[in-house]
Amino acid sequence: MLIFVISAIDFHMPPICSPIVRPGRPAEASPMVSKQLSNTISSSRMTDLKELSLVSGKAAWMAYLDIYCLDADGALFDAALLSAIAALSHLQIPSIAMNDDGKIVLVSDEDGQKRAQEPVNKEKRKLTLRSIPFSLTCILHKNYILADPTAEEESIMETHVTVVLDTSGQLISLYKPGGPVLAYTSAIQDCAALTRQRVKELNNFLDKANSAMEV
Amino acid sequence: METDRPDGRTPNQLRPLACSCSILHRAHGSASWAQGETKVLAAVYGPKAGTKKNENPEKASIEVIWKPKTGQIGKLEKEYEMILKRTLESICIRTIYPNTTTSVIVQVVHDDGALLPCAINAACTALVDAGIPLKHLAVAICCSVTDSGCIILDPTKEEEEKMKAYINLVFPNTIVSVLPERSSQVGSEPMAHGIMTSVTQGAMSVDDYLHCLDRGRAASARLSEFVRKNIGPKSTWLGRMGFLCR
Repeated sequence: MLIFVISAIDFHMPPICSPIVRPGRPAEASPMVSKQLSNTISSSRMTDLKELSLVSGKAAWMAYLDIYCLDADGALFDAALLSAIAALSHLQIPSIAMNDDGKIVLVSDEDGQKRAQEPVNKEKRKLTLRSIPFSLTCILHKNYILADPTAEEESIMETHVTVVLDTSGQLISLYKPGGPVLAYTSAIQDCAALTRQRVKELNNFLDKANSAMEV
Repeated sequence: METDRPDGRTPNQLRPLACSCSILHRAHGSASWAQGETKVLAAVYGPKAGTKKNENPEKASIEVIWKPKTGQIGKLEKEYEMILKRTLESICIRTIYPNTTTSVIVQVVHDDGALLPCAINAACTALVDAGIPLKHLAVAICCSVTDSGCIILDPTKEEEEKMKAYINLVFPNTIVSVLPERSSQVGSEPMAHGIMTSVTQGAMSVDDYLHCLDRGRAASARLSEFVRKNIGPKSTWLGRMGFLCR
């Protein structure tokens, strides 16, 4: 079950999003962001995979998560993670029934006869998200920390640190792939503090957006 | 002890290390690095003339190719390649050979846990063997956190699967210098305490992460000593003797 969810996360960078990306060959950053996303979502355990089970050992839901980047201007992972979380929080699982042959059939409201089947999921429902992870990418340069860099800033300075915290304060990921500037303990703590602040802001923003969509 | 490990090690104990240089003939530099059963072979070719597309020709560029033991290259291998490339770029002096490309080929011989740190150590040793100019070496270590909050160094594959979280950390090599101690300090901390690379898997608290940093730094000091012994005037002398014999 876990393997299905991980392998179904994909981050696409079509040529429209950046002058660097050429058609045909996948962009260099694509597999990196995909892997980081899979890592983050599996590490945070924000969804209970048992919720996706229909008939134990026979049938289960499989979620495909495809993220397309339309305009690449820095901090791609932050935007990708936020869009993944917003999409998962908006996901609705339809109601399902199993007929006499053991086949899974979608239950429609209009067809009265199909309601006679044994329902597996009685109604449409949303996915329950537990601790939600949020990320912040920073650039380290001498004694400065630059949060949420643009593409130009990213190309000039080479040391990036991405901190992912969830809403319960757990550290999901601290990703620093090399770079000429060394990160000391004080810089790590500063980045974590900035990320905690951003987790609160983004969580409020996501709650408001979901509330507005419910109406 | 707090935790009994299946192979009898204490939580802070590393697996036995083994390192060999100059084991391939066609490569300009090569190294084999083993930590317990995990073993990685690294080869370096270059600097070769020319720069690939999307690279900066004003600097030397580094290309990393990661070969798994079995199967084809997937997203995991691509991520490892990128992490290795960025780590090696940060230790090389890239302004000396502009418009050149150095290829680093990493072949996984066996994976028994803590594979990425083993590969980083092998690649750094191979770069030294090839004579690529470096600012300093890098030493890599893997720390893991159990469900009870205990920190364990250098986990095996079996231990990795049971851990709540683990971190791959890369630090600069400790500096042994005849100059005053001031030269190796950066602000209030020694240079060897700075993090070059950090890659985490699994969830943990920030305090656990900082504890792992402390354990990782202590272990990297031991690794630095091991590297210094194995890459020394001895191998250069042997190389020169071999050259003279020909």
